[in-house]
Amino acid sequence: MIENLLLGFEAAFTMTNLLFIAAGITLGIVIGAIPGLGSVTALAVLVPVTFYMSPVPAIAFLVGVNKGGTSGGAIPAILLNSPGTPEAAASAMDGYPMAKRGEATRAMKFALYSSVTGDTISDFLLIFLVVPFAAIALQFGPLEYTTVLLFAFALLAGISGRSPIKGLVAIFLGVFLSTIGLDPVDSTSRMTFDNVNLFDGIPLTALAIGTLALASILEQMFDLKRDPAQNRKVTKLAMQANTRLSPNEFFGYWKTIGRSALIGSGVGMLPGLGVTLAAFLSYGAARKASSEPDSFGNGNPEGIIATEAANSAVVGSNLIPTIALGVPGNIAAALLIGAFIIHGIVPGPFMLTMHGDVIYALFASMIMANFIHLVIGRLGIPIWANVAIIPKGLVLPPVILMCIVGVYLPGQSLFDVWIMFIFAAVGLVMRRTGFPVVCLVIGFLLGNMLETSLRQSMLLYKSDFSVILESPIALGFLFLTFFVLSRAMLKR
Amino acid sequence: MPDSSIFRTEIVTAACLAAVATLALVWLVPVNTQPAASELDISPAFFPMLAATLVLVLSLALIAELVFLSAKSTASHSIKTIVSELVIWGAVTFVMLACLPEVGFIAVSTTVIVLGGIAMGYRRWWVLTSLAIVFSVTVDFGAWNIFTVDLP
Repeated sequence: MIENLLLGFEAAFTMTNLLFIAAGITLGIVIGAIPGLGSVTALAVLVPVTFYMSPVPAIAFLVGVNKGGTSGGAIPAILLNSPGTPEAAASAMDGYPMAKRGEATRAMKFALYSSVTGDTISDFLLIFLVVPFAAIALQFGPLEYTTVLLFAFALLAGISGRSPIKGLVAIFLGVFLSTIGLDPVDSTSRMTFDNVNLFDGIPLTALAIGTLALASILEQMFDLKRDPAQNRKVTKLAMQANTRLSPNEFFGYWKTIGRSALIGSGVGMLPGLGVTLAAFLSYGAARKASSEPDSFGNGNPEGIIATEAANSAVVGSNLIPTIALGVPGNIAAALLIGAFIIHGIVPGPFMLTMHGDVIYALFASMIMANFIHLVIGRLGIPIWANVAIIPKGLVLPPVILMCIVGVYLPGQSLFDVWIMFIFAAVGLVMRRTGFPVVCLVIGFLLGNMLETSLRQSMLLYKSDFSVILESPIALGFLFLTFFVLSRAMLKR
Repeated sequence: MPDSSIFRTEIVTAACLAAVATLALVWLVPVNTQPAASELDISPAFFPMLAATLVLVLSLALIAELVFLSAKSTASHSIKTIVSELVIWGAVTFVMLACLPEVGFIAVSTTVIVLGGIAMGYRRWWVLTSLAIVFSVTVDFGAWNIFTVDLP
């Protein structure tokens, strides 16, 4: 493994790759710092830009965007009490009180250092755990895969929204949409209306950008239209009073850093749990473990450390199920799967053997990205604050155009732009009616895999599902599926 | 917003989903899917039918949950608001996509940024117009020079 990693560093340590990582991190921080956008929007819009790049810089660029976007959300949370991303909401609880007493720069340093440390711990866990995970995954046949996917769906539906039924509806709607196009086994056309544009199915980029990025922009624009007060100039708080943060002081919180990074990594490994849950779980755990729990919410740096270390730790560890099983840990990983597929790399246990060079170069890029993140983040602290206060009226319309360009670039087809606009409407309705959009996208992404594994199981076992009783793995995952679903239903 | 309008939103959405799933089951999948290549194969229609059936059953379960178990609503807007937003977005989409091949990306992009900014209450004309022009020209130039893609 060490040898592979060294080879990965050799492949990844090029000026082009470093520049793309730096560009990705900068873009991620800038977009993450704009309240309402965040890393998912950034990833969705920027995935098509990588079509013309070679795999390593392309994926490294997107990983940089994800890392930057996740930590960028803390900037408006600290300065404006308006988190750029949902996962940074807990950072606002202690970051904003610190900023109010003149410690904004210190709070932002705490956020950045925690983010980079959590991310680095998580990246090392990824590197060490992905091979054993993939080795286990190699034992899986189609039956086991079917049950793993059902378990991932159950987790996703149970946790991503307030209604598990709505989550399931969104997932199976996504699964249904994934069946449009040519049949994966027979290559006969399904629901294409003889339209050649649909033979390859609904384009993933159009669906993802439409439902995730464009629908979110539309939602904010309609809300802004109703409440233009959000557009008024926001004044950032003074940052000069107390700016110093020594390494000794920061690493004095090593227990909180380590605990939060492990919580974030653990949550990231399980499909569907999401970054926001990691951030709040970690915040709660830090508060519980503290000797001064009442100081949380009043400017305790441990609150920022717990949140930022945990939410950034999700970034690396959610690639464990993505690479080992082909099942994304969260929506950002789902978009990365899209990027892998675009570059001819099919995620799953064979990914390490078939594309080991790319994967280890990616791991090396992730480690290097953490150092670059630290440098860019530290140098940019005075600049990011200005990004956070740009009025939304000036930011949102250009993002719509970026969505159009992003979808048009790969296929140069206005048909894809039409599809994106239709899914923006679908995404808007889903957001307004409380259906989790993330479930639709992941259902769409995994639908093909579920169909293939289910049909293979049916052919292999002649549709006799009693064979599940002979497979402890399948039985275990099926039990977990029922447990998660019934627990979520009873909770509701 | 009164709870009854949110409740109506939930019911109407679930009913629409059930209707779409039914349409898929009785027409969309059976009529627009080719049969299996051999008798031993599983029909290509099997999986889409299964997914559509699950959407139908779950949509009906959602209605039942709302009506009989008085489950908490998770919708945030009334059906009237959602429909009005869809109509506006539909009109914008149609105009944008009709104009793109006719007048080109730069003109459409500049107009969308200016009108979008104004619609959201931003009133600094010179900033908005400068941004619209610089952004549109830069993106068009970048798409051609970096990706050799000629935007419409």
